[in-house]
Amino acid sequence: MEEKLLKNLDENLKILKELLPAQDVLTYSFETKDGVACAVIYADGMVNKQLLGELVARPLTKITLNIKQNDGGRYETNEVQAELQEFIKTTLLFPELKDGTEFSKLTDEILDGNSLLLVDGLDTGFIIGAKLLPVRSISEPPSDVAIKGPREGFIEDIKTNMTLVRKRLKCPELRFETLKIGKRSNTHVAISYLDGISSQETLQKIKEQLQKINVDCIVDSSYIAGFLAPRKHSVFKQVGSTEKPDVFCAKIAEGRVGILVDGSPIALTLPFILTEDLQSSEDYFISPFMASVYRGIRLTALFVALLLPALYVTAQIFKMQLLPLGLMLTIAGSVQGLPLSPSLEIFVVLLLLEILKEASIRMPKYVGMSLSVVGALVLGEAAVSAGFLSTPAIIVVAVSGICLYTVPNFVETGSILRWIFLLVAGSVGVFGIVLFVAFLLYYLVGADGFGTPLLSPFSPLTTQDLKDTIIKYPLEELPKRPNVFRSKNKTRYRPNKTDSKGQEQ
Amino acid sequence: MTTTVQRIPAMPKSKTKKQEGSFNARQLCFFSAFIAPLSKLLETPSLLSQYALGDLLLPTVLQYLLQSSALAVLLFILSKTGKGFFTLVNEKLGNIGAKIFYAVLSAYFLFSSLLPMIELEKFSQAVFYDTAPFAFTFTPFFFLSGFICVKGLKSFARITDICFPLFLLSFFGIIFMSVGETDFESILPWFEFPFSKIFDAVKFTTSHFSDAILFLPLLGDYRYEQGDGKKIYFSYWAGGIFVLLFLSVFYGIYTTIAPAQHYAFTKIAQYFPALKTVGRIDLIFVYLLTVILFFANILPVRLCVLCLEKTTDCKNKIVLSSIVNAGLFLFVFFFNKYQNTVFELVTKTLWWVFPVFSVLLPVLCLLLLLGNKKPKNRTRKNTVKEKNYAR
Amino acid sequence: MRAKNTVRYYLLVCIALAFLFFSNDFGLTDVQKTALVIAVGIDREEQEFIVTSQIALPKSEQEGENTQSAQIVSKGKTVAEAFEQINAKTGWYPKLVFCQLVVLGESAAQKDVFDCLNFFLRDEYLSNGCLLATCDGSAQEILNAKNPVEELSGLAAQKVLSPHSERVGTVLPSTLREFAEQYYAEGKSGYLPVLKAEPPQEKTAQSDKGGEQGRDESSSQEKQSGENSQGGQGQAGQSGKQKQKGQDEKKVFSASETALFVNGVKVGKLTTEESKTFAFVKSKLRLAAYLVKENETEYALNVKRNTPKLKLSIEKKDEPVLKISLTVTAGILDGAKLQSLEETADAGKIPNGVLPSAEEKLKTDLIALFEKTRTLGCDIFECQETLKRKNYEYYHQLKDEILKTVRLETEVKFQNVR
Repeated sequence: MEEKLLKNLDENLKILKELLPAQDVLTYSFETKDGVACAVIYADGMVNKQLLGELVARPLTKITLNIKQNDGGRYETNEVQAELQEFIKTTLLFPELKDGTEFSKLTDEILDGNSLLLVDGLDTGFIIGAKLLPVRSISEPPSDVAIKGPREGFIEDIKTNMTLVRKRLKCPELRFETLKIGKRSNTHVAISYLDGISSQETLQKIKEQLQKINVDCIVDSSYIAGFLAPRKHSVFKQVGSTEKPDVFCAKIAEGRVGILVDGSPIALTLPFILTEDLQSSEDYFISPFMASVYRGIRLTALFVALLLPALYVTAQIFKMQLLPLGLMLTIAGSVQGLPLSPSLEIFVVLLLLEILKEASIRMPKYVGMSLSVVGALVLGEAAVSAGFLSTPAIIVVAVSGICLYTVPNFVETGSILRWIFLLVAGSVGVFGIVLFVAFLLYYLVGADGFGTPLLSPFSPLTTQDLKDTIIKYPLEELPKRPNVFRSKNKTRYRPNKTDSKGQEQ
Repeated sequence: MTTTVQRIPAMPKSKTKKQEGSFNARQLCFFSAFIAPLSKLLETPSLLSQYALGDLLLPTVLQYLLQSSALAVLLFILSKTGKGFFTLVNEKLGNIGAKIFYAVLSAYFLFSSLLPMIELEKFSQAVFYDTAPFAFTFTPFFFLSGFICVKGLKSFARITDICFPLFLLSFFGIIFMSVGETDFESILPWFEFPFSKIFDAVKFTTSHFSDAILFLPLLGDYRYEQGDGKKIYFSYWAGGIFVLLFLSVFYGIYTTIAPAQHYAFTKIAQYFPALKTVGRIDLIFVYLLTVILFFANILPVRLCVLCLEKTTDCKNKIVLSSIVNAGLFLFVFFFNKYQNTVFELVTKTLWWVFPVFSVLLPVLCLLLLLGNKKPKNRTRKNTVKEKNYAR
Repeated sequence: MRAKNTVRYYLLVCIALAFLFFSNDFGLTDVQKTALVIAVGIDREEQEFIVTSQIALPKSEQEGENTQSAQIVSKGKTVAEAFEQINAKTGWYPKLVFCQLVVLGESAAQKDVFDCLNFFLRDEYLSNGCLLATCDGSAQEILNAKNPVEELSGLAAQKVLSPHSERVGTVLPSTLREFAEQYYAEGKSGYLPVLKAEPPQEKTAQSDKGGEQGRDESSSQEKQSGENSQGGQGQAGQSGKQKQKGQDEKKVFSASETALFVNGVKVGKLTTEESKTFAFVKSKLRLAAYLVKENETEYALNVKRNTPKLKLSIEKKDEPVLKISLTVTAGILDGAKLQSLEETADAGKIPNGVLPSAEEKLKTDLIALFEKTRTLGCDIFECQETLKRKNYEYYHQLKDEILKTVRLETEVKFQNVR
């Protein structure tokens, strides 16, 4: 099969039909004023047909190209071809216009949503960027709701996402390096960073990792995240993610590298540190004092979420001293006559919680309401009345469930850890909990990703970076970028110097 | 006097090998101040008060003087040579001699971890349970130990950063809860006991205070910089002050019944008035300190595995770690009924082993200085900047 | 490959844990099989100890919120042996982690109390911050007494021995740790509050409650026997007796008197007044009431704060002198005689002569108290201990005779609160 375009339009169309036999790849044929045949090939539903007609077909139908075949069926020479190409380009009123000759690239462009203009007698095709892809409108992301602050969220279209980023970082240092990943999906992936601020080493490593990905299909950024994660079997997240462009830009401005994936509203950021999940974008829109309080609350809620069910079980079986006598008697009274042991009881209630959570996401909207009632009343109230479960167990699991959602980015990891803590507490007791905590700490201190330790800035201790971890200092007291990202340009805030009369200098 | 500033070039990437002992000065200081004292807060207070009653501070000070002197010697050697101990030992003793040295060290570390393991097992049964736990309760500890022994020393260096806030929070939390019940005058009179009794107290607690030898492998690949010695030395003494404060509070609470109070740091805060209403919240601090205690107790095992690696040239840490930890598990499982026998053997019969290794051996290391050229001053300005976040 | 092995290793550990979790039957006793002992009474019968354990019985939600108690009496040559019988009699595993009160009966106090208290000192699970008290009569009767304030007599007794009571000077509580420290100290002397169960003033409101309580109790006892048939019989016997007693009048606890011990044996008792005097020296009083008579009128002073200082010095000819200095800040609380509105409004307006009278009274009481303890040979003022700590050079010379030879000097000062 031919690799490059031929001068004969019909033959080109024939080859393209063989390469793209799908019925949604259409051809729009028309002629110039002097009868030269032209054709625009495009994928139906991906192009703006009105634009094609107005800005491609109409101007071309009004011009003469003087492309003739001689008796031998030969077309004009290359020099004339070059002039003709320039003429066509200036005639078409299109901001995105490039040419190509190889069938592989041209077909990729068509499948990407661009249109291909072929002219009989020219062995060059013109790729017209008249995309009109179906995308949803920009809205607030459901997973990161802000009471104060921007409410825009990324959508599935990478170009829109890049625009949202460019809108916030209007500087020449903002770079987007695009590549295609996925043998069959050819998904556009854009690496976004601030030149001179992001670490070149990290950037290089990310690029190498991305280029190594050899998979059929990338439908979401989580696929990329899986490939980028240094430890494939770790329970802990190793790649940051966000659906909000303001958060994305803030992270890039700190020295991270961002990755946008076409078809996914979730952008990735690297390197990732664990304390990111404890922070919210809103922390930067409210007073630093309140932000610190909320972060403390989130941290406390996280510990409660992970440890409460485990401690409840262990207090009943192994170490009653953990609770005061009155509370122990209340709990003991509640569990009188229950058929299940404390550990099994909590296991069952936790399992029910996870099932309810999963079902509430999956079930249709109209059924959701009634099933929520079933879940709350039947499982909660009735089970207690029937003597299957005790009230404290339900309270404990409910509190734990609510607390985990104060840190939404940590829910997946937290759920698994909660199970493991329960398992450990029910089998070995408080000793097991303490051992597991020691194990987790030791594991986390050794977990590096792209040269950055996961537990930064606690370990290794970087005192400067602690100012924006649990306690939030005002922005004026954070003049330097976080040390952990090894940015060359460390200064992000330059206080104005004023003279004694208060005039800026 | 001017010093020529010499920029030490970075090692080419392809030849860079991840080295053991990746501690920096800060991490060593944290280890000295916040991890090393933990082993002295468990059985040592009751042991000291058994021999010295109210004079328990004096043997502690003497122990710290001995150990800090040994530590100072080690740091002095590093400051003079600019090389880590592993390099010095390999250079001076040759391959065979170095292997013998490491083998002896690994045997010592294994021996020194026997008694603490049994104490830890008894401690776990007393503090973590209030029913009769089953026989294998302590087994999961060896999984943790095995895991830590497999990881590089860089992880241990980093864990010292975590132990810093944990220790401060829990230690001072416990002290705050205890100080209301403390009668500091109970330590009086000073020098009640004759020196022979004090010497007994020093002799029989030496197994708990032998810290200096732990620094030898930790400084194995250490890159000494000017001023590090002072920091580490004073940090070690800071740890000593924490221990002295704890002992004062402990004896101030328990006075005459102090010798019967095992697992001291779990008990002193239980008299805080609020605990009657809210339950034993002091146990939160106790458990946090226990996390650090685990690391403190596992370190000798880790160093044993490290020395075994150097002796056998076996790079498979998993095998070595499994052997050592399996051995310790079997020892604890079979000998936990003979705690008193092990105690007598280690602290009374073989007590001399500890000062030989923790005091005499560092002094003997001075011989490593012979024939060494004094390197150029290595200050912070003329070294490649340590990137904290990479350590 | 290595990652795969790591995953397999973790999976194996999880499977092992899951096995332990779901089987969960390695001799573990959860809360349903546990007897939560909240108070213990110890009496002595010749060579045997009679241990009365008060066990808190949680009631299920359907049965209401009241917590009942069961009392198990067991005997043994040692206290530990007696406790083991709880398991044999009831099938419950006794736990002492919540035991906050140990009452020593009169019979136990007549011999060295540490014969029985040793068990509690050694036990790693029992906090040695638990309250210790003695009583006249048997500890079993004390714990059997029904209290109108609390369902569980052990809890009621703990309220009487609370830190608040100590602060108002009505009680001199002691914990196991404190008593043990005193026992092993140089003076080998100690003191314990004497717990008494006395009928309250009014009877009418309580007899109705007593009937209800008897019914509630029998229903809880039946439920217990359903849980364990072997123990149930023993308990039914107990509940029979208790039913009768439950219908008897309720009693309130008091602990205003203090027993003195030397070498663990009770040697005497301090009256209420003497205990209060001693409280000025030992306790930190806040809002304690102190009665003084001036001009044939009784006044009650409200002690806001006391600052005791004890100093042992060795003066000429090696004479030990114990100087007790007390500074008491007080205001007027009440007078037996009607006072003017001005005087009532201002607590600082103390009639002349009241404070000097108070000083004189306290001084006299203090001297009498000291002489009493000296006669009994009970060194509750810790002269020997202070000699050792502060005057060690004279310790070996004077330690045996110090209680007999020490001269007491007192300095009492009452300050107006305003």
